[in-house]
Amino acid sequence: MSSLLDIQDLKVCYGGIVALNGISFSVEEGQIVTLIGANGAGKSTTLRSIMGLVPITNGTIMYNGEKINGMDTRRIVQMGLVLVPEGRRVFPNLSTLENLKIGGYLQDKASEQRNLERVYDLFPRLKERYWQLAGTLSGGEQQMLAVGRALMANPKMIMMDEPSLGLAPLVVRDIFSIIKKVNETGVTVLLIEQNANVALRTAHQGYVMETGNITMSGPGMELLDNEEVKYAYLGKSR
Amino acid sequence: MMKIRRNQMLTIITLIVLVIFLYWLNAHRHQNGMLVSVLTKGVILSLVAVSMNLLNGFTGLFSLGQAGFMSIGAYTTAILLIPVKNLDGVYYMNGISPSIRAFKELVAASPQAVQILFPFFALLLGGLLAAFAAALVGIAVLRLKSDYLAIATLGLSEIVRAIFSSPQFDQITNGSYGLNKIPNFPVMLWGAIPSLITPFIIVAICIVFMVMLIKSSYGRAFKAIREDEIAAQAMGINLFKHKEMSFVISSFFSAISGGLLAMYMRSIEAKTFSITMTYDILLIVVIGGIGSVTGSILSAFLVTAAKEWWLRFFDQPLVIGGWHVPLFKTGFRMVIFSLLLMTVVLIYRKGLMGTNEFSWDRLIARFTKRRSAKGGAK
Repeated sequence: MSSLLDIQDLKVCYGGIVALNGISFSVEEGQIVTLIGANGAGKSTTLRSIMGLVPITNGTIMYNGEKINGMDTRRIVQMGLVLVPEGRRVFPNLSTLENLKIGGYLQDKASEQRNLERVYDLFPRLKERYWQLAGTLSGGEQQMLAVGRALMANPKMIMMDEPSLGLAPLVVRDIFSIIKKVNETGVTVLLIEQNANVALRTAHQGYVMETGNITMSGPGMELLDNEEVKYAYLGKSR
Repeated sequence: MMKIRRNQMLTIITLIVLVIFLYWLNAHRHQNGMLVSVLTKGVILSLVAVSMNLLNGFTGLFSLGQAGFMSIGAYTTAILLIPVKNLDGVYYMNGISPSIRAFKELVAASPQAVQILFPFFALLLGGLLAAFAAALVGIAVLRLKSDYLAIATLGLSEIVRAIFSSPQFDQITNGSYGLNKIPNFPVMLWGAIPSLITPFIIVAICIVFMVMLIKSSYGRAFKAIREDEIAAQAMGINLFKHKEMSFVISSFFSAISGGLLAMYMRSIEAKTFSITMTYDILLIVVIGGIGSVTGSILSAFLVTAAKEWWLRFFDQPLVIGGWHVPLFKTGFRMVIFSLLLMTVVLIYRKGLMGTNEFSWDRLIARFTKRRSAKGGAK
């Protein structure tokens, strides 16, 4: 089985500060993979550098058998790799429908309509509220919109930066069931989370990041049982 | 469906009424001098206001360079259109550059058809020159954000003004003496559209183009950039390309409006296009609502009419029953105007229209709501 996304020795520096210190990991097609770690571990930087939003210092990023480091974000999106940015970042003064259409910006009219129907199927709530300004949606609905907007690009793989950020526990559960549903439609998911508990329960494969390095990896459930992880991220006292 | 049909009907009827009104105005233009000049200036300013709104309101680029691009359009149009016989009178100090004179004589000697189309060519050329200048400058300044972009474009506009009035260009722009004897608006369609109506037609075409742009997927990308650059970029929108596009198109239409302004004023000088001009346009955009095309158009007319016409009587001495009312003298009008502006901004915090566009549904709902007490709001 070949990996959809394969990262080797990725290093990113902001000025003189090393944000990622040569990390390597891979994402298998059709899986949900999660990167967990504390603030400042370099999780968001990883996603942003994959998308070409941050220049990388060293390493290779292979997506679908092609090297994508240094590539234009536009090209990467066209290749079916999209990002749901941290904090949702919906366009607040545009309607739900406009938000979705911008997600499908690189698609032609026919596939835009097809994708829109697919998103409405997954999120009937977005259909009900198509005319509403995105800024007036609830936090959970905004997260749905952010995921829906990413799906409009007809992605093969979707990367999510802390989808549970600032949401109530019940809503977080909903969001993760959505992520599972999206994954079941054949979309590979790379998930970044601080909420290690839910993330590891959902993911097939997990990686633990600490200050720019990957320190542990393994199937989600296995990591969940790991004593180190329990101590560091799940609040278990030694 | 019924609603759409009704709205289309209302729009068509309104347009017909407007056209009839314009032809009526053309027939009675001598009795209605003030109305004609306010409407003409209003329509010209509405074009530049919409173009500024495209950039500031829809793309979220706070640019203050409008006057500079207008002056490029105005000067191009003026230089190309001043009749050959008036050249010596206009350029009485330094003379005109021989190549420009030769070109103008060539045009004057060319067939009738060329001469009829020439004013439109002049407007277009002014627009293209401004667009070209914007494209070059945009590469440098569009990297800047918000206030910094505003300052850079403001400086740019001043540089353009300084170049036009510099002695090195005396033989082209007539330096600080300015240009006059600029011909009035041309007639269109062999006189079927009289000179008075021409600016309305040109502005309408330009604004329709911009509205179509805003409604297209490009317009959606502009708005996405305005709302959140990083998210827009993550959607695969090329930030620079779209910013540059918006900047170039906005500059093009500003220059067209500048060219029309030159035809309207009949004489221009570099001072006309100082920072104050940009502020006047910004004022119109803000009063109308940042992000609303119809708001900009509405407020262009309202602001022009208020400034130049409705408040005029504050400038005249007023005597009530033998008592000479103080304050009523030249300049008092602007005090009242400023007070009105403050009031409007305080009441309508997002401008007259906010980010909404004019719609018949809303207008009708507004009137029917009052009659039927309290209807369900949506």
